Amino acid sequence: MAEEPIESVRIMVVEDHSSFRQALAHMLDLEPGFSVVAEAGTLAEARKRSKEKPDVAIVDMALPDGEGTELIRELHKSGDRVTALVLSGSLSRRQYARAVEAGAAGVMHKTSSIEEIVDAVRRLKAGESLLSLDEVVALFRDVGQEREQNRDAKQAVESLSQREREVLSALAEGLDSREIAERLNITVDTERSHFIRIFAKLGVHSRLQALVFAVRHGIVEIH
Amino acid sequence: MDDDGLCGSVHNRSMRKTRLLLVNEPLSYRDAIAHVFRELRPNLEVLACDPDDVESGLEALAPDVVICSALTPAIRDGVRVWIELYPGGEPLAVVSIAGERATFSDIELPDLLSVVDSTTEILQHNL
Repeated sequence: MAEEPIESVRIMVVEDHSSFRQALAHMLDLEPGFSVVAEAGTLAEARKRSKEKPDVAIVDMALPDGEGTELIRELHKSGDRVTALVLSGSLSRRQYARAVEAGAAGVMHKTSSIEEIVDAVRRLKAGESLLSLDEVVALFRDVGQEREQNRDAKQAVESLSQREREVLSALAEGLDSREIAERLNITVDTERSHFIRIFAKLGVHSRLQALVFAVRHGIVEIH
Repeated sequence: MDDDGLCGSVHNRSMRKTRLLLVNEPLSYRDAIAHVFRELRPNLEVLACDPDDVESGLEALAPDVVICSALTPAIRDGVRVWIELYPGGEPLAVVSIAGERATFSDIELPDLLSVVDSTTEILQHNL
């Protein structure tokens, strides 16, 4: 008779696609040395179920009530020494970078096989890293760049005057140059001067780009 | 006796084992669900393939049940029971049994097992 492993790897599976989560949990539970102690389909459930003290949490990124990174950050800060493995259907490098920054020890795509997932859990439990130092540095660089871009955008938004915001709001309503001038009771030349300054502040080169920037950063809304 | 075919060996149809074909994506989903069916329903013949590999060979495989993530005309028109699982990553499933369709907002593993079990019963009654 085979000896029982002294200590099983306690696993929590966080995934909103129930049939996959249940199948994955079932298969992992059959693996020697693995024990699935919790399953969750939402962040809220995962927060409750993390009381089961898993060693490894396999976490989907896109959950109905938020991003998996929120949970990873909380697990990382809790001091419970839970190792998080992201299993994501997204190929977004920035999403991967955010997961690693939140504390994920590994990131896998859902196109991985079960054998690869099992192997990843074993390696993580053994203290191995799924990401090389170079990969981690590159991912952190991506996060840094994203943050810098966000900071620049925030500064650009804050630099807009009230009048320039009104010009952008009128543009978002689909008004042309003459209509915007009429709406704001200014001349067309003044309207154009406003746009020249808006382009310079937002770092864009056309009315369309200015509109896209304004919508993306919440300066205006399109109804 | 086994014949070589797509997705590995294919048993002789005269054995009348229910044949389940999984062509859903992503791979981890297909793999996990196929493993579970093989483990919990050893009486089934379970085949798991990349959807591109079976596009032209579905007729030869002659599955009784197909689990897919993108319903093709060949599956819709040629397979008695099919489950479209998480199409486009959406958390829903469409189940069709002999033309009767039902949509599940959050299908669970026991539901998948139940659909395949029902298919086996239908096949047995039709023998």
